[in-house]
Amino acid sequence: MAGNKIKLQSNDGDTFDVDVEIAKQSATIKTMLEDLGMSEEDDVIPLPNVNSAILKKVIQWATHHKDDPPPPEDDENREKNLSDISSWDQDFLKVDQGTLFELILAANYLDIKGLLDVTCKTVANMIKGRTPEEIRRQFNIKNDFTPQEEEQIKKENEWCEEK
Amino acid sequence: MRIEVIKMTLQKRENSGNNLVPQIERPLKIYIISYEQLITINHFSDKILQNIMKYLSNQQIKQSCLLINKQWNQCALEVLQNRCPISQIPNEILLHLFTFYLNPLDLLISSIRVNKRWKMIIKDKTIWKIVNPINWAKGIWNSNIPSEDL
Repeated sequence: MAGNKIKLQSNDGDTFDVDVEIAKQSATIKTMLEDLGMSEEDDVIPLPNVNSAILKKVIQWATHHKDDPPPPEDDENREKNLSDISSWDQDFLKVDQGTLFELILAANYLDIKGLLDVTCKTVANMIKGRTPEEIRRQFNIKNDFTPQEEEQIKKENEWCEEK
Repeated sequence: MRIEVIKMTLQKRENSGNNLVPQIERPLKIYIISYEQLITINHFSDKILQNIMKYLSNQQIKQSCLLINKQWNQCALEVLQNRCPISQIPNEILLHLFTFYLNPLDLLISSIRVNKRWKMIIKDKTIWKIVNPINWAKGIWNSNIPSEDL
């Protein structure tokens, strides 16, 4: 079983040879292989939502994390610890925002929990503790509230600032 | 025919003021425009071209718009520069992020004031399935578990 490879094809047509065990970190691909009974010698798995540059990064991430234990289920009751990002992942995610968000989209589409988790943490860290204006600047978001609307929302949520 | 549709949609948008842009129906037809069709559109101003390109993905812009001619190339570069990557993330993923990675204090004190889209997502009822005013009043924001169970 070990050493089996499958071919993944990005939406710009490049194919990548990947170990089956590495590719199976993607629940989407795992389902394709197991439930749909695709055999590994079958030609290629097309991934129409992922381009080559991002697929390359995703494979790089999955290769590094191939021996990780499966991530725990999401616990709705507790906020995640945002500082808990390995230094390898921190370096891996030192990319421009466009790439970061494309990685989130790819992780969501391919259903790779660990990658979605670490990318979400990275974005949450960019939001946490910032003022609305700082967040807008950070993400280049346009403020589409009128001053009155803004004042209104501020007032509605004042109660939590009182401490 | 296709070009007419685009023009009409854009006009509708321009007439109704800039801040209404996100609410107005997207010109979906643009998504299926091919390279051959693109090069027949010769009479658009920079502004209209940029408006059209706003609805294309980074990849579509890089693969086709950049290569068409000087005008398209410049507009495409401008659009890519002004692009706000987080705006391309679907609401469901932002909702996931807000639910699991930020606490109610972060959301209410600041994120909800960022823009209309964020406010709409944060007001989604799935984030507020569990409310715990007792903990919040004590300044405990990082957990929704009632304090006696901690």
